[in-house]
Order: sequence, then structure tokens, then C-alpha cells
Amino acid sequence: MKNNKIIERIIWILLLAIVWELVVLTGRFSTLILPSLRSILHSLYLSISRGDLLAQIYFSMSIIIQGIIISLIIAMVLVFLSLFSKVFTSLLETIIAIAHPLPGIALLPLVILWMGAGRKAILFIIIHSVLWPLVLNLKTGFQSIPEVYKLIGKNYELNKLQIMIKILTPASLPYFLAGMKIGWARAWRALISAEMLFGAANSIGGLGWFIFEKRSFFDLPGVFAGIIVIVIIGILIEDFVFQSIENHTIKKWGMST
Amino acid sequence: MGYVHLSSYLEVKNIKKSYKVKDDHLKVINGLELKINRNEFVTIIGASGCGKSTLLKLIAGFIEPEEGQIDINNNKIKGASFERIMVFQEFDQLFPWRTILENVCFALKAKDLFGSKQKRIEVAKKYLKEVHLNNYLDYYPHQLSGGMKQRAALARSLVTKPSILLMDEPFGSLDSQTRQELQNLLLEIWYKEKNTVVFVTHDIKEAVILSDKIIVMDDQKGQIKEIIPNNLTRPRRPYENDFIELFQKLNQLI
Repeated sequence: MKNNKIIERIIWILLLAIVWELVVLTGRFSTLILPSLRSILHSLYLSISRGDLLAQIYFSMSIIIQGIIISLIIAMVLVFLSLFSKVFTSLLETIIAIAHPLPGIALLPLVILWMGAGRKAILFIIIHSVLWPLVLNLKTGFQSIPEVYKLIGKNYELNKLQIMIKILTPASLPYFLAGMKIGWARAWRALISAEMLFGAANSIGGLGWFIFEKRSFFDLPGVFAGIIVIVIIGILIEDFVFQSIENHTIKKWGMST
Repeated sequence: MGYVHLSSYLEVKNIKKSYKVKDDHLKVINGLELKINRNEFVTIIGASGCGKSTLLKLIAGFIEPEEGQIDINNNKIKGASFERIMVFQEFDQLFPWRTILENVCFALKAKDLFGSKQKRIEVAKKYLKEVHLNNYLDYYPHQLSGGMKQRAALARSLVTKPSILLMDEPFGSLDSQTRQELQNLLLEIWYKEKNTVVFVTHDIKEAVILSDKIIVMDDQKGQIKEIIPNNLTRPRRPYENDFIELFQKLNQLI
């Protein structure tokens, strides 16, 4: 993001915060339902300083990163295999057609029965959320690579694996990043929902569980504190992590579309 | 080396291949024969869709003929090879994610030449200097003009010292001044490196400036219409009488 855009953002957020406080100050709503910003920030401060919120962030982020790495490996293998076999490609396309439109959260009841309500189940949902958009985009990326690149690969006597690693993968990076962005967004949403449903069965529960638990105690400042953290992580990943990866790769190389 | 080659270096023997032109219309190269000597600079000209690019791809080994074979030094070629490197017309034949230097090093690395990275960089730099890109080593392709991209592609093709350089209208998308510059550069390099060059173009003037031998393709029969030796003294200037004479002769043939 450009600097003046960031400043614009901050100004709007401050204005909205002031409006919020003013509404609270009118006293028309119970502070149980609409807590003041002060109490929300206080709760946020307490949760962070006690360390329990950080532990929840760590738990959620570690699952999602693990899920994304596993998805990445599976996606590469699937797309690589589809380079070799038309039969496999046709099977893969069918599976994508079925699995891609299916929201991960719809699989929850099944996953609970199959793997119980633990970390494994959440991981499964995340992989489901990331894998298909990633495979789909990688496939599209590979298909839209200029013919010349492949001919050059042949000309320099590279084998299929070398062509995949040295040429097809970097050449399809714009599609790969687009797939990762969709995958991340889906996984992040699925993760929070799954954590709320699974709770702290075998673990500390994660961010989703954090806000759900606060709700049980009617600790609304705590709920809002959790929501703020979820929003901030979302913004950091989408606007900063992905942005800076793009700036250092496809933007720098003039490949962004 | 002073000895006489009894047979030609590159021989295209009775090739048959069907191919599609732009409107999905099927055409055929039918029983094409061609002989090219070592170190010769040959251009292939003909109307668009006459099969000249297809012929070049066959020689490169990117595609296989339905009948016939292509020999180099009396050995039948199989598939693509470092020995026959193609330079394309497309500006995006350089990898956009690699700098100009890295693009040239790619070729050396692929052929696994010179052992160390240090040495490869050194050799790549030398070739980039020959194409006057020594000040652009760390630029990415999208930062360069079309002419500079083609020069970098030329450096990448030459750096592995292929015995045959196949060029598919490499200067076809350039403005006429840049094209002239690159033609001169190519000749300069060819005098030094002495590769065998097979150069496809639809520009008659380009063919007359560059080559020792001009092959005119017949787009109806899918064969060679005529082979015209070009013995004009170099450097060739388009305003000289014998240049104009040859140009007009070719113009009538196409």
C-alpha cells in the first residue's frame, strides 16, 4: 500500500472509533452488549499480557501454516502427475469440479466422525480449503505458459522435472500467488469456524475458540478483542505478506497482469 | 581445417510433414530435400504459410517428420539438442524472472559447462559484451527494448557454442533501424564464431544482406522452389546494382 493510502485508512478507522465511542456514551445500549473501546482495548491488553491470546494466535497460525505447506506439496505433486498422464488429468479435473465448490466447513460433521475433534480435523479442513484453488490456479498457470518457454526447455535438453522446476513453476508464479491468496482467505475463514465448533477438545483451541469461549462468559470486550486480532492478522497477511512477495517477484519481473 | 567435405553437413532427406496454418487449414511439406554445408549462412524465404517455420522446427527436432529424416554429419537427428539452438521471433523468449546475465547463465548451466558458477558468469559476461549489453547485466527483460531482448537471446544462443544456429524471423518484430543494427551484429558474430546458420525470414532484403545461399520455398507444392547462391561481396549495400538485381529476381520468385 502507498503511504497516503495508509494514512487515509488510519483516519477512517479513527473516525469510526470516535463514532463508536459516542454511541456508547449516549448510554442507549447496555455496555454488556456494546462495550466501550476502552474496555475492549483493556481486555486486549490483559489477554496479550497474560499470554493466553498469544498462545491462541500461535496455535491457529501454526495449524494454518502447516496446512498450507502440506497443500502446497500435494498440489505440486498432483499438477506434476497431470503433466504426464491424460487419464490422471481427467480424473483430477473431475475431483476439482466436485471438491472446489464444496465449503470446507460442510465437511465438518464427517471429519469429526472420521478423525475426531482434534488438530488433525482442523488441518484436514484447511488442506481442503487451500488445495483445490491452488491446484486449479497452478494448472491454469501451466497451461497459459508461452509455448516458447517449453521449446527452450526442450532445446536445452532439460527433462520434465527440470522443465517443471526451472521453467513452468516460475513462469506460472502469478497464477500460483493468486491461488495462494484465495487459498489463504478460505483457510483463514474455515479455521476460525472449525475452532469454534471443535473447542478445546485436545488442545487450547485457537483464536476461534478464544472468542467463542469469551462469549460463554458474556465477556464482550474479550470477544471484540479477539475479533480485532483476527482482523489485524487478516490485513497483515493479505496486504503486507502477499503484497511484499508480489513486489519482490512478479512486480519486479514485470509479470503481474 | 582445409579438407573437403564430400557430403553436406546438414541434410534434409525427403521430408513429409503436415502442419496447420492460421485459419486451421492443413498444408503439407511434401518430399522436401535440402543440403547445407558447414559454416554456411542460409536463409529460407517464402510466402507466409509456406512451411518455412515448420521446416526449422523439424531441423530443431521440436517436431518429428511423418516421413524422411534429417541428418547431421550423416547421423540421423533425434529430438532437440544443444547442437541446434533456436532463436525465436517472440520477445518473451527470455525468462522474465531472470536477469539478462542469469538468462545467459541458464544456457551454460543447462549444458553443465565450466564447472563453477564463477566461470559461467565470466563466460556469459563475455558474450553479453559481444552483443553490447555489458551495461545491462542485472536488468530484467521487461526493462529492455525489443532490440535489446533479441540481442540477449542471441547471446544466450551463442554461449553454448551450438554448431547450428536456427533463427525463426528473430528480427521480424523490430523497427527497420534496429533490425539493420542486429543484422550487422549477427554477421559480425558469425564471422568470428562460424556457426552454421539457418535463418528464416519473409524479408527479401534481409536474406540478401545476410546469407550465402537463399532457399525459396514453394507454398503450393510444399517443396523448395529454387536455391539461389548469393556471392555478393560483403558488406552488402542495398543501393548497389547487383544487390538490386538479386532482390528483384527473388521478388519475382515469391
